[in-house]
Amino acid sequence: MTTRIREANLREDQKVLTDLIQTYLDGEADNNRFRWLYLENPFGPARAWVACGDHNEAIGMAAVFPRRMYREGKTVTGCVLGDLCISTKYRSVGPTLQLQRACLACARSEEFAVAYDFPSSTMSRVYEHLGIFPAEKSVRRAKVLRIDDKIGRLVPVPVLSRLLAAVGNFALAVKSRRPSHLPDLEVRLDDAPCSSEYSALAEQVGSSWGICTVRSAEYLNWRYRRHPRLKYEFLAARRYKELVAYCTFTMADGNATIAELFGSMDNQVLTGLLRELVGLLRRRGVATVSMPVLSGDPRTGLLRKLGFWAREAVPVMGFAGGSTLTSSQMFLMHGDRES
Amino acid sequence: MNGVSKDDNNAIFRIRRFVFQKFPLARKRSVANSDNLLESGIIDSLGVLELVTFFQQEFSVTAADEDLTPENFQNIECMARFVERSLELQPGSAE
Repeated sequence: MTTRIREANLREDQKVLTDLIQTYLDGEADNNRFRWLYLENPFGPARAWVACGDHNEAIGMAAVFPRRMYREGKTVTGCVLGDLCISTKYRSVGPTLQLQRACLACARSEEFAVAYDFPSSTMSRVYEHLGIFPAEKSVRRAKVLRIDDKIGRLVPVPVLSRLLAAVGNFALAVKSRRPSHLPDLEVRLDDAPCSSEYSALAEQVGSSWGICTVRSAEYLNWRYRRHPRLKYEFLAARRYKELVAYCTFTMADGNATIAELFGSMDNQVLTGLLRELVGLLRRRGVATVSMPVLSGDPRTGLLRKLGFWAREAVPVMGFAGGSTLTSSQMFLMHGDRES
Repeated sequence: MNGVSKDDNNAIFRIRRFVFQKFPLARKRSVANSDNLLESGIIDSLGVLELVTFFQQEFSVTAADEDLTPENFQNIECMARFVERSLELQPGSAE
């Protein structure tokens, strides 16, 4: 068996790529997702590679997605790797390694000043085989808002379970009800598309990080407002009508995930914003809220104080050309993943 | 000629021992040397990488990406043949 890797033509290969992703990675990935992720990215179209088998049949693929990023205060082009999938018949690693090498050659070329990836455990092992080790890890921090399900599993008697859950939920709610000590902070849901104030905040705050995606209004509207499957909401914090921080979140199956917590690093602002979010989610009956952050994120202490406890961690790869990035240089959140 | 080339079973024995140690399902199902380990799910892609590392350490055989195919890794006999071929191709192995 021989495997040949070729670069995909996004227009001509759309069906091939979508079929591969649908079959081997994500059954719900359709043409809308492809158009959104591969073609409509404001930072430029994706680049993809197809692995072909003996009879030129497509057996796998991988892609890189451009991002505009700050690197030491300057704007550069970066990328995130993603969508690597391979036919179950060819999972003897050879084609996977060939695809990953093609992606990495591009990601570490002069075309991209920075590249990163959130690999699965299998892909981490593939990276390791290629002599590349994680630059950081992303730790999911979770806060429990309601304990109905948990109690229901532990206590099989419905009346008793409901009673215990009500007491537990009340205790959790009271614990989070402390005031934020920042009366001039106005926190509310932003329903309209992100405007220039988001771009201004991105420039003001993002450029102060070593490496950080340019969270411009254009990017945020594409990444979240026009996401083909998930509904993201923005909870914005303003002081004297000026946007100082925001939180982007999505809900599924009774749980919420924070994709972005961006802006001011002031503990009172962040506390006020997160307490408002927790209150909102609790009113909606959400059971837990999770926020994956890098282990070196300076907000970790505050998150712990607010009841966001560390759960599982996944590796994060970061490169700048031939060298591996270190955690202190990166600001990456859940929303920095490819889709 | 090296020890593995003299006796093919030697490679088979060492690979089999490694497979049984590393992949509990193989031991549980008492797989034969010709049983397909990839199709049966006993060895997955991570398992192949484990084998690649083992071949390097045990036989000083380096597998290129193109070598990591089902033909070379589907069963213990195929793996032993791959090791044998690779050793024969190494500089200084020809008699």
